Amino acid sequence: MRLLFAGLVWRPARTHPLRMFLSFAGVAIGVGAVCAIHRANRSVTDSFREGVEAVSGAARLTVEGVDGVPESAGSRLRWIWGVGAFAPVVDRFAVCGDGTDEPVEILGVDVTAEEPVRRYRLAAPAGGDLRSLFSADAVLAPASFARRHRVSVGSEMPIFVRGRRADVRIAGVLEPVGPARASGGQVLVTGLRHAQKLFGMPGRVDRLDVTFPESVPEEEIARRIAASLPAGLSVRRPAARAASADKMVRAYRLNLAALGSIALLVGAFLIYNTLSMSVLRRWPEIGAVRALGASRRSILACFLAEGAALGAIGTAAGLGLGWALSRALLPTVGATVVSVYRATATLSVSSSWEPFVTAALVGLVSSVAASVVPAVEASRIPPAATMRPGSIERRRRRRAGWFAAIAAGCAALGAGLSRLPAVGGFPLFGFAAVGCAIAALAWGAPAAIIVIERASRRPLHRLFGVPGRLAAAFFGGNLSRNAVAIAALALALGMSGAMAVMIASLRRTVITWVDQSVASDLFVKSATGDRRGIIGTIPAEAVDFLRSVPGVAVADPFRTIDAHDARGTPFTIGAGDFGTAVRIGALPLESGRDPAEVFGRARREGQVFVSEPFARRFGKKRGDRVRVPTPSGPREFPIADVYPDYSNDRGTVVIDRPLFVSLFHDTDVSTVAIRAAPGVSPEALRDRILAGAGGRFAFSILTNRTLRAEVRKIFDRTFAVTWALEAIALLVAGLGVVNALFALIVERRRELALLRVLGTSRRQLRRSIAIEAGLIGAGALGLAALAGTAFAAILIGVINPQSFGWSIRVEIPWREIAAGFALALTTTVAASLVPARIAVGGDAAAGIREE
Amino acid sequence: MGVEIAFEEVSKTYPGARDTPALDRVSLEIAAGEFVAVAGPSGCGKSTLLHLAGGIDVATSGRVVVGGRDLTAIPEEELTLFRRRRVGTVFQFFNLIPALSVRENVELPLALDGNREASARARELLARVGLAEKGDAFPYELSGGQMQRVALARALSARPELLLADEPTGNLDSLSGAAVLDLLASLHEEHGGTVLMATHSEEAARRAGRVVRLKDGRVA
Repeated sequence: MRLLFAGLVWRPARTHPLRMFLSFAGVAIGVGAVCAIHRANRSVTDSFREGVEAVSGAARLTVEGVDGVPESAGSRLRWIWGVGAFAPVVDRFAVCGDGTDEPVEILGVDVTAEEPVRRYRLAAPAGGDLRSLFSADAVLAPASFARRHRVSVGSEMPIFVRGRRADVRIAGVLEPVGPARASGGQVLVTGLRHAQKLFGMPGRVDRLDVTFPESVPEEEIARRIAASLPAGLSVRRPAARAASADKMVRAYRLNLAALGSIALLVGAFLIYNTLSMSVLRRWPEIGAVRALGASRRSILACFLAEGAALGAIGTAAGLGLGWALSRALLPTVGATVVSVYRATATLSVSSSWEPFVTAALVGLVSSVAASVVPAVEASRIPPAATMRPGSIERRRRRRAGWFAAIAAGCAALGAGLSRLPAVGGFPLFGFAAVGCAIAALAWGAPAAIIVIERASRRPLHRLFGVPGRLAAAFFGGNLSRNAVAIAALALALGMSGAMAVMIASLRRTVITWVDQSVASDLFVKSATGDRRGIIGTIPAEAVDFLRSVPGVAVADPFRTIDAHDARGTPFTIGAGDFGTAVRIGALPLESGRDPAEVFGRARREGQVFVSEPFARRFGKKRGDRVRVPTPSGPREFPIADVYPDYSNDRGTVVIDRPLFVSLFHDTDVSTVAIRAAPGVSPEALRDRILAGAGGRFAFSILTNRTLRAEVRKIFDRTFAVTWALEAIALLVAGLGVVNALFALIVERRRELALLRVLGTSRRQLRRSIAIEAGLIGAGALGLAALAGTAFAAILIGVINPQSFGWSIRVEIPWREIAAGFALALTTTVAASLVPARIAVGGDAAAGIREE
Repeated sequence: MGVEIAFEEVSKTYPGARDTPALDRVSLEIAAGEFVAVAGPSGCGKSTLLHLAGGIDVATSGRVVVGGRDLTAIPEEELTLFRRRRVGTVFQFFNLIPALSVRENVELPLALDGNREASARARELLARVGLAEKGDAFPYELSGGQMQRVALARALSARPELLLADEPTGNLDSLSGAAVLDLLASLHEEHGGTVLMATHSEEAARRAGRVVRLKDGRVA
């Protein structure tokens, strides 16, 4: 076994260090990508969980409502004092007004009820305790917050909250325990009344945190609490809150993970490529050792060991790469999470080893899996093969029909799988269909070569004479080697082409949607400084103020609330003024009906609208009924229509504002879209609003132009990760193909020497090799076009709608794709020139003597 | 030491050549220890006959009985062991493993069986074929005649009962070819195994104890 491994694997591998390096570099990059993405994802999940744990303290259950909990609900839970305790909490976000524009979690607590639930330790003032919060504007800040914002006990700090500026006074500094660890230390603890006043919610809190000893059964308490509560309130574990937050970004996380897997797939394909080439090159030696008595199993073990060794080295390097990449990736992922999903998220790098262990396992398993096919193929080489040179090509040619049938089967299976629905919101079968398309590509390559060879034989002869004829013969004669090279190049090109189509299509779709939906001139939200996203609400009187500003033609308020269904699946409740839609129009609806008429009827009949992602995620359509949680319990509404929405992949149910206010008793709004009167410049109107707001309101106002630019910026940043991963994977795949081409030509030295002995000139041979490389490139481009179309169709038609619920209008970036294909073809031909010079140079007689 | 070989109505047709069998109902008996040359023009079925005797290939019909065992009826695993322990093969194109040294090539058949004496045996055989000093060299450093002598040493390393030589001089100049044939004959005398040599050279065929002539897949 040792000699077999040395003779068939180890020593030949040492003579091709570049090829080996490329293979394990492919795995390293794949593992690195998987590890980095997994770690970034884990950081998001851990941050949400730790944030919830920090503010939940010893709470085992929480009582919540869709728009908070009336304080009066506490009176129904007094019985809990018999077994445990509960504490009311206001838990919302504001924005620091000290110029940092950082979000800050405001935790409003009932000082007298806190002790059983949360622990605080004051670092300053000495001997201080929670009672310092009894004064009206007092807050406690973690030590890290105090350092970051340069505040100390007694100093005042401005914050933007609910469209206003408020000054809070630092009454104490907290050690980093308990709630002081929430939001990465970006938290201020204050008294309940103060928080209620800041957020305009007198008599209401966000939740009641309930604690009781471990010995008391949780289910029983939960059941008793649920029975005591009025309609509209529910009881759940604190962890469920983190789970809901995590579910918001689930599709994004899963798709990032899938992208990382594609990078790994390319890496694994490189291992397959390298091993297949090894098997093909060592075909006679394998036949010889089989004739000498080597068993199939030992040959199989040799090549599996080669795959495992390449995988192990690649994985080890990949883990280091993943560690470094994850540090670079987290800010980008964090920025996307903040701008697209949760404006208040604070992320820190996860310290868990789990992403490394998972990536290592995935790397090793996929490397060994990639080596199974070539290893089995090697083990099946008959001992007699070695006596009949060229028999492998004959076998392959004979089997090409079968391979084509298998390719067709894989393609058909992929087509079938792509029609299946998502599994738990994840497009599992979509990714399986991509796998089938790759398998079809690998199996279909030999047949493609035969077709191209037959079709090109005559034209090439006519065009280039003998070199053309030789090129076609070389091309078809090296069926097995060329098939592997073509499949690898086609996979890399097809995948990048499909990515380019997907991103261009999504970008065009989103920009068109923004152009259609962002018709207003200004967008007003509670002040967030330069920070993106919406943090907090603005009061109804601010809307009245905006309407009163001269030059404002329409002020259209919109409110959003995070909600979740009975299974904890998050979605958004939106409240917009249907009357405005009737007056000035709205987005085109899925049904294509006149929006003014549909909105008018919806207002009259109490109907709601759902976004396209909501419709897909919850399986709803026009005319269905949708269940929405309200403070007075769940209510069902008929769906008037479905509208496109690319701003939120959780899905949104939009209720008419008057109906919302009557159900939720909440008049705050999240944003106000403003249309300027004719002749009024948006910039001038913005300045007028800000001047008029003076000390009363604190707004952030975006113009139509800046909002659109912002959307493009967010889009491009979100997909920068995709591009980076694709580019790295492509680079390695491209180098692998160039390397394979090099090997293909140099190995044929003896054949080429023979042709020279027979009278073929060096120039003719070099030309024939260049033409053959052109055929390889052209074959790869043809297959890449087919595979790329399949990949793009699956990405756009299956994976995206199932992950995000978005419909995408196809946009093909012809120029980029043509440039990419031309570059690939040129590189392939250029890559053949140097080895061709080496192969046809030197002494022909020596060449044919070579063993 | 040698084994008896019996071909009973053996035919072999390669895939893709349905109408032209490489061997057509061949019946032949070879006694233990016999040195038989299988002669005939190219394509007459010589190599196929050797491959069937050595368990390297399987007959399409008929029986190939070697040492009392029908090779057409034993499973692949046993055939592998049969080739490893009882057959030595010399190929026309040497088929040395280029990545292994000369000595390692010779060790290989015994090493496959985990035999600890592989190295000593390889040294002994290399000395016997006159290449003791070339043990650490690699195949590409040898001449054609030297490579074939290494192949011969490798074929004998597991002390096989049956030695197959498929055109052993086909790729050598006459001087090297004669030296290899001399060596083959003397090794046969020393080891006493059955030798089956395919050749299209009359001169080579004359070195054998018996010559079987094939024409168009049949015994002439």
